[in-house]
Amino acid sequence: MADMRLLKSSTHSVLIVVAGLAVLSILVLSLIGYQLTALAAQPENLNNVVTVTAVPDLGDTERTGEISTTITPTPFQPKTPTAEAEPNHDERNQLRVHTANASALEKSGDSSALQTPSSTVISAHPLPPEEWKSWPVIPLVTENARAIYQYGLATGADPHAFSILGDCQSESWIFMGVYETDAAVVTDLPPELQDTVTHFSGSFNRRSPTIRGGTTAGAILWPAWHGNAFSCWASESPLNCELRLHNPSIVFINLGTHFEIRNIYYLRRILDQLIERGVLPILSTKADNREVDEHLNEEMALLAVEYNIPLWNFYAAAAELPNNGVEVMPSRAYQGPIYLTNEGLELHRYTALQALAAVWQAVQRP
Amino acid sequence: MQHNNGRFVQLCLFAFLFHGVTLLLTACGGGEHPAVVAVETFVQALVDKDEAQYVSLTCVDYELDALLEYDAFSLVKTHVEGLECQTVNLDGDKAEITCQGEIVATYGDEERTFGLSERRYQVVNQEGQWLICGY
Repeated sequence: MADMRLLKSSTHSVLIVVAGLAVLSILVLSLIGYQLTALAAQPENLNNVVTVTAVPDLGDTERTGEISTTITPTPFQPKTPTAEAEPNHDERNQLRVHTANASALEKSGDSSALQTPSSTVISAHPLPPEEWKSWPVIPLVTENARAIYQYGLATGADPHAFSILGDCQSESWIFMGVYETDAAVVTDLPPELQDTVTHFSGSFNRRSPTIRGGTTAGAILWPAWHGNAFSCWASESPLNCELRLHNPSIVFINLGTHFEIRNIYYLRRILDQLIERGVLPILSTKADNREVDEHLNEEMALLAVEYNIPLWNFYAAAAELPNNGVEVMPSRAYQGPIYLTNEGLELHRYTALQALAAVWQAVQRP
Repeated sequence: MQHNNGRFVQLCLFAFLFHGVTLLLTACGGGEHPAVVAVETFVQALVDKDEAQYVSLTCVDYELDALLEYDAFSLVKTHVEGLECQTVNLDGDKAEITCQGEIVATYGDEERTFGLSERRYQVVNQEGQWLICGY
């Protein structure tokens, strides 16, 4: 009797176990089916997939984001820069006087009184990067810059085209577009600047994949940033797209108006690409100090020395304007005073044109 | 007889518990493969500007490219809409993940979208952690 009860109880338990196993098996099979369904959903056309290949290993330092700011030789330069000349007292004073005079003229509000200084070619920047505030507004043009430009012309760069890499303050309608849209403005320019406008006609008032609000130095190198607009290819960066479409011989770099920690690393990558193609970069300083310690402008001067290329020191021009020519945009108050005032904008475009004229005149001389 | 039945019941209970534990472990994964979870967390970290989380989910060889995208968004406000990822290929320690949805980037009044559906994330299991190695 006891055996019968035990047998009945065991049979009952086994039935429960079997039923449980059946339910579990159904669940497991459902999971397997889910995986198979996912595999079956694999797209047939693999060619449309954007692929980003891994970049070469550049070393632990760069991987960790600790970007060196020391001056190191660039991998390619058409002409090896001469050793940095130590400026003497007279040269330093001359540069400071020039900067002061320019500021005084700007303060007077008569920007047309600013004359493009006669361009001379020097071997290297006389002042060190840490003295960037004393660098002249209009770029000093080095022999290396001329070599880059001449190399570019020899390899097919358009001598009549320049490009701009920048954010919203480089958009044509607030930067230099007016030189193509308002004849009266051009008529008021000094003859050498009118010649510059004529020579580079077609470059002042154009939309470009390298100019957009919110653009960073990193964005210029990230293919998706152009959104496949401007006839850009999905695989090419905005920078490469602009170089392909416009084929400039000179490029303004108005980037780095914020404080991303890898800014100088991206700027070096941009400069390497430009110089390798024989496109002469003109670096620039900015009027604001959003980063508080002004290190972004100093980095620009550092790069100008490192690559021996021109620097348009807009900061020095804006220094005498009220609040350095910048203000807070009410709708973007969180960004702080980084937007140029009307006076700042006018000085921005005018000194940019002066910089372009000075560089262009200097580099085309044999 | 009693001895045999007892052994049988023990075996059945063992099998039942084994199945149960397996099912429990699967259920704990929320139904998503860990590679899928890694990609969704990666994209969320990108738009949240959480660099530490973002980099922690990146292969060493892909880190510079990943940071380039991260830094490209540094001046714009970002969020992601409709993010939903799935495994399209799974081969041992390697997986390919696709996603639906888009990154929305806002600068002032300008809004731009960056679709995710064209991307095929390459994900690799390295020492137990699924890492994004490109797309």
